[in-house]
Amino acid sequence: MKKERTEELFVKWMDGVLNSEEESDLLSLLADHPALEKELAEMKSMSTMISEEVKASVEPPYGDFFNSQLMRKVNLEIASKSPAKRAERWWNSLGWAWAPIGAMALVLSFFAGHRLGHQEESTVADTSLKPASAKSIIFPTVYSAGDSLDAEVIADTNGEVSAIVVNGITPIRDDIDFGAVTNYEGLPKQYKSAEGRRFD
Amino acid sequence: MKIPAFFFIFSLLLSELRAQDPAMQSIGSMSVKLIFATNGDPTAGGAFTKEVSTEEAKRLHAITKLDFKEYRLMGVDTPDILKGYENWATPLRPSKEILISFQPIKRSGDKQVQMVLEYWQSKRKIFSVNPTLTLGRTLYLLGPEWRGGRLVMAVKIEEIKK
Repeated sequence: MKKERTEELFVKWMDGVLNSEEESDLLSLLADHPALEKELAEMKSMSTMISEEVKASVEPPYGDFFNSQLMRKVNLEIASKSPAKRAERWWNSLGWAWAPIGAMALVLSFFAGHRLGHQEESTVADTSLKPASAKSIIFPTVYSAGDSLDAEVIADTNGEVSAIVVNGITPIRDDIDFGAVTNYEGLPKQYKSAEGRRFD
Repeated sequence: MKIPAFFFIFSLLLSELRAQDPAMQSIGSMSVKLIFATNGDPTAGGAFTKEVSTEEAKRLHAITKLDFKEYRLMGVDTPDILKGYENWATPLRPSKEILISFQPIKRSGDKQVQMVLEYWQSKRKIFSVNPTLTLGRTLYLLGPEWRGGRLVMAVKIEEIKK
C-alpha cells in the first residue's frame, strides 16, 4: 500500500471518520505490518495529549475592549483609503522636494559645524587656569597618546602662555640612566626618516 | 665602470631634487633644553650637575608650578626648523631616551610660529601640544617624575628667517 494511503487511513482513524471499506483496509494493513500498530497508538496518544493541553477555543480576555479596538483599527483603515483623507496628506505629493530639502539641510549643518569648530579652537582643553586678561590668546591643546593626562596651561601677566604642566605621565624608572647611549633599534620610524633626510 | 658612474649621477640628481624641495627649507632654529627640577638632593640626577643660568632659574621660580629648589641642565639641542617636515631635538644626545619632535603649522608675522610639539619617551609618544611660540620666549613643559624630581622641557625659537 502506498505511503500516502497509509497516512490518510491513520488520520481518518484518529479523527474517527473511517468508513467500513477504509476500516477493513486499515486492519489488513496492520495485520501485514504489526509495527505500524505501535506507531498508530503513539500518534493517538500524542493527539489526545495535545487536545487536552490546547483548548479548541479560548475566550479572549476583556472581549468588549478587544472588539472595540479591532473595530477602531478597521474604521481607521477604511477612512485612510477614502479620497477625502488622502487629500489631507498633502506632504505625500511633495515627495520630489525631499531631496533638495535634505541637501540644503546638509549644507547648513556643514556651515554650522564649521563655525562651531572655529570656536572650539580658541578654547582650552584639559586646562584649569585661564587668565582673564588673555581672552584673545589661543591656548594650546594637549593630546595624550596613551595615559590619561591632565594638563594645565599657565600664562604670564601679558597673557602669553609660559608653561604647560602635564600631570599623569607614568614616572620614569629611577634606574634609567640618561647618560647611557640608547640603542638605535626601535627608535620611532619618523625619527629615523628625519635623520635620513638630514644626512642625505 | 658604468654602474658607479650611474650612481654618481643619480646621487647628484637626488641632492639637486632635495635642494629644490621647498619643505626642506629652514625657516629658523629652535632651542630645546631638558632640565631636572627637584626639591630634594640634586645629585640624584647623577651626571647632570650643571646648574641652569641665573636668568633661567629666575624665570622658573616665577612660575608657581615650576618652582623647585634646584634645577640642573641635562642637555640642550638646537635643531633647524624645516618648513614642511617633522623636526627632532635630542637634548640628551647621545641618549635618545627622550626626544622632542616639532613641526611648524602656522606662521604669524616675523615673530610667531604655531607648532605641533611631541614629547617622546622610551620610543613612545607620550603627549603632543600645539602652542604658538614667540621668538625669544621660552615655553616650559613640566613633564614626568624622575628620581624624586620632575623633568622640565624648555623650548624656544632662537631664530626666524625672513
